[in-house]
Amino acid sequence: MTVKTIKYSTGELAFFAAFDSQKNSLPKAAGREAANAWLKANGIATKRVEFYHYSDLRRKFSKSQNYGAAETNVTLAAIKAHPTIAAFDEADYQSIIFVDGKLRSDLSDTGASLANNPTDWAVENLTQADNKNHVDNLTRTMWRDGICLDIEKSSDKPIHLIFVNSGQSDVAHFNRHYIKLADNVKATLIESHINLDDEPSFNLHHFNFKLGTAANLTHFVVNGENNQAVNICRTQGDYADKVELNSTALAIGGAWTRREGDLYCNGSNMDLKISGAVLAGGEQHIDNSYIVHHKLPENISFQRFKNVIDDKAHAIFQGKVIVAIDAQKTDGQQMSQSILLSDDASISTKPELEIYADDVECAHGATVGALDEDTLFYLRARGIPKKIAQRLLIHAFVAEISDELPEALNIAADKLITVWLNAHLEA
Amino acid sequence: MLEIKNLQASVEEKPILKGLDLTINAGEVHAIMGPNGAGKSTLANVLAGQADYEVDGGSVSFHGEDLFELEIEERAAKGLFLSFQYPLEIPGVATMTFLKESINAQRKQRGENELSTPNFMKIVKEKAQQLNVTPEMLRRPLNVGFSGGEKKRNEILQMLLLEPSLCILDETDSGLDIDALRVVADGVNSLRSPDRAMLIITHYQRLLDYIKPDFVHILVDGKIVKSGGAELAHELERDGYKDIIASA
Ligand SMILES: Nc1ncnc2c1ncn2[C@@H]1O[C@H](COP(=O)(O)OP(=O)(O)OP(=O)(O)O)[C@@H](O)[C@H]1O
Ligand SMILES: [Mg+2]
Repeated sequence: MTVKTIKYSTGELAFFAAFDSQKNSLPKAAGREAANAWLKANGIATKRVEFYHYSDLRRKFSKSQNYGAAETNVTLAAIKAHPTIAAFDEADYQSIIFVDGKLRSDLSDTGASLANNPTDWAVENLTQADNKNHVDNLTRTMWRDGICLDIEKSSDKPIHLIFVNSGQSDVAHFNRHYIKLADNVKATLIESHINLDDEPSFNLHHFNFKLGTAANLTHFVVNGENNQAVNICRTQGDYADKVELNSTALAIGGAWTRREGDLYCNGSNMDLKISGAVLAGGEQHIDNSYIVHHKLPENISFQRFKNVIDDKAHAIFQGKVIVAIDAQKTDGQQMSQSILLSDDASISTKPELEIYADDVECAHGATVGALDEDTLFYLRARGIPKKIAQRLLIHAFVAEISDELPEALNIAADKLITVWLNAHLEA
Repeated sequence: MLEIKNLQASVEEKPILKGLDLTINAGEVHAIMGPNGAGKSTLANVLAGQADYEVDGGSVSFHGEDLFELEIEERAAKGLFLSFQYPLEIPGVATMTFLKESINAQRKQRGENELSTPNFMKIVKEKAQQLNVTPEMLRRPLNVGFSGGEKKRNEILQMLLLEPSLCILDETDSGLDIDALRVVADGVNSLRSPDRAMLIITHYQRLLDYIKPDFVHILVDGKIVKSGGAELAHELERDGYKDIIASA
């Protein structure tokens, strides 16, 4: 046996040191030490790890990164006045609000904390610690809080998870979340990420979703952070028979965003939609990377991302569909469509198929282009200024994603897209 | 209103317009006829500002301004309208949204108030009815799945709404059935006024029976080779282009 010696980066050393000095003040949980040991053995992922090829995690962990928590004073009014939150009608949801990595029951309508009130499933999961994923182990090591939701009854009223960053300059926050839908339950989850100021922020979230038989989840995510925010969100999805999932992520902010997932089809006859719209400019880096594991027959998964990229922004779509030998009649689609608005904007797409079954229907496609000049000309020839014509065409392009949302969420998405377009393509 | 002097233009390095002169005054209706490939659509597109066409020489003044100094949308806001020979389909943009954006964008550029939604709806409804454009068509994405004739009617609807001072119609009659031709011609005629001018590109006498031109020009190989009154169109219908091209 060869022993690998790793030369840690200063950022890795700072992380390990922070864990050593803070572990006694973190909520007691099994699995922390094991996860930390895994990270020590493997290092934080660099671009040499295939799944992080375009998003080098280790480089995000710097020597000067701060760890720890402090109480922050924020008002509910300030949170609700943020454009991302204000796009939703507050009568239409129940809020669960995190401020700087801590669940704030005083500000929230509902929710139980992983730190104070973990569900059995959460405790069990934390104890297992057999995972081989970097974000999973980073959050297992350092988590300070999270949400535990056992949803046992269908509800028309969405739960709105609001992650607020405020006032703490560049402190890293680690959260783990456990969300379970019982059999036949239909639920809607909104997830918003915001900053209340212009300070840098740094968040890692790990979500475990367990969806029971015929559960139906609509999950709408808005990344509406400032242009200094680093946000890494991972989902592990465990899905039973007949699950229906509509997961739609809208990126209208953030400096460096990575949304990733391993989604496991543990049953049959499910219909999974994993989609997103990315509106990016400046030097933003927005990455959507999902692996769908088709383990059993007759499931549909459709990954679809639309990117609108301006300035020097970089969008990434790295999708993968793995079809196990038993997963006959799998329908796994991946589609990435991008519009580049400037010469320096870029998109990296790497859809992959790994198929071990023989009777499957899988395909992937990617398109990249500019806005169509002839179409722009037609609109301008009717008096519509160039910037407004561009807005109309981009809006039409991304609306194909948001139109798949239920009406109230689509209205909110539409508002947010309009705000981005108006600000970004000022007429 | 429009004064074109010695206009030369090319597409992909290939000269198409080779010294074209044309003056159009307010109140006049001009028709341009000419063989396929003569440069009629090129002229229309150059005037509208389509970037595929390179202006190599000459000048065009529109309402006393240098047309080539104006952006595409400024030309439109100042009253230039081109009904396209081949209107584009624009998926994802509802016809109604497009109409409202264009009318209000033009009003804004002219320093006028934007139309309120009810006001706008009322006007659209009335003009759409006039052109047999159904409410269902207005709800659809712009021109998507429209038949050839429906697209042309939609172009004229836009013209009626935008009330331009210079209406350029590029083969608006092609693709129209006999009833639609009359409906469209009635629409165009309803816009005729002493302070508006029209430039009608067509291959057929039939449209000119409905919209009577004051002048007819014959465009051959990038130049106007003959001009006359409405009778010239009849001559052409009878004799074809052969004699004219030979004597030019
Ligand atoms: N975008 C383009 N790219 C290449 N060639 C072009 C383009 N547009 C026009 N041309 C060429 O320029 C010439 C003039 O075309 P134009 O469309 O102006 O003719 P036209 O008089 O309108 O003919 P028609 O009666 O058939 O409509 C033709 O030879 C045509 O092939
Ligand atoms: Mg033509």
